[in-house]
Amino acid sequence: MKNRILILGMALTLLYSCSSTKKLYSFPSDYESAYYKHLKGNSDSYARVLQEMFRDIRNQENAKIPPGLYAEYGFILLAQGHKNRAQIYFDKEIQEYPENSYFIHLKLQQHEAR
Amino acid sequence: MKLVKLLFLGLLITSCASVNREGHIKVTKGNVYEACYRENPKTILVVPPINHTKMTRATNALLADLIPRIQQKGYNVLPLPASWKAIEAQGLSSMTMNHENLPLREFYEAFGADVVLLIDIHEAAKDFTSEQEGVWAAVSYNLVSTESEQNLWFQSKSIFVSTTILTEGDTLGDAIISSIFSSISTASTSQLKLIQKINKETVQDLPAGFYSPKNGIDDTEIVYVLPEY
Repeated sequence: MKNRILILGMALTLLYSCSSTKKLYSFPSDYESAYYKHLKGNSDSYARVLQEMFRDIRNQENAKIPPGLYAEYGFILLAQGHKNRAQIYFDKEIQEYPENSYFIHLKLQQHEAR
Repeated sequence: MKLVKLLFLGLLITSCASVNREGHIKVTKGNVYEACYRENPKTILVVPPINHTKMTRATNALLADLIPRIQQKGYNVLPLPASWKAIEAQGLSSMTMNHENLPLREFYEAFGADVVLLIDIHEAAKDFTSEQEGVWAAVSYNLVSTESEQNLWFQSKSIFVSTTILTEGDTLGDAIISSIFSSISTASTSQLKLIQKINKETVQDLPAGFYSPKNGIDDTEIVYVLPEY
């Protein structure tokens, strides 16, 4: 009996000490590959992944979108000429992460000056 | 019974314990990255990395793996490649090319960046002279404050990865990588495994960022650094 308790203890110790802590954000499995393409200049799959993340977050309690991602999507929309839709995401970004207002304003200024 | 007790004790001591890396000294994060804890930076601007190697895809593959890891650590990374386009539009490209004399004040005031992240990929070449074919890479990461201009955190990793091992074994690792980077068909698996290994080790040593629940309280965690750091 004692042996069983000890073995159970060992198993629990192993599980506890090696278990990864809860992740801050939930990235979909295809995030990195879509992000890689985005970095290379093709944002189609990245825009789709971001849309899915924004949709999924609504159904998850206490879940958050990482800083910068609403802005990322806004920049993609802006590059496609959808300025009004882009502004919705810039507003979301600034509401969640006010520190990013500097960068968004800079980008909008640069966009206007083009 | 004694054997079980011994096993239990051994397990407690060794389970997931960090292995002392050769040539490195054991310190707490709070000791070695004191300035980083004091400034507690929130927003990171990733300056275009310098890639001295022939692995032209390495930069983007490295960033695609690294940036989500840094975000998970609780940092706010300014969007890429939007940041690089903004640097270009501000006429700052030439000042960022060699990572020297950076316009840190402008990055702070116009971009809202608390720190800049400088990444150098020093070397990466196929090594056919050793018994096993493999890849060498040395990547350095440097976090510099835009306000105090102090170096808040530095990491340098150099790892040899055997492509023979990668192709003949470790199928689980390869499966994970290929599922993550399934669409990067042009980058070799060995490159990706190398990149993931380097990034994972590096970000582990980074103090928890502003948005992490561990922010400011992980200073007692042990890290291994080079004696000269």
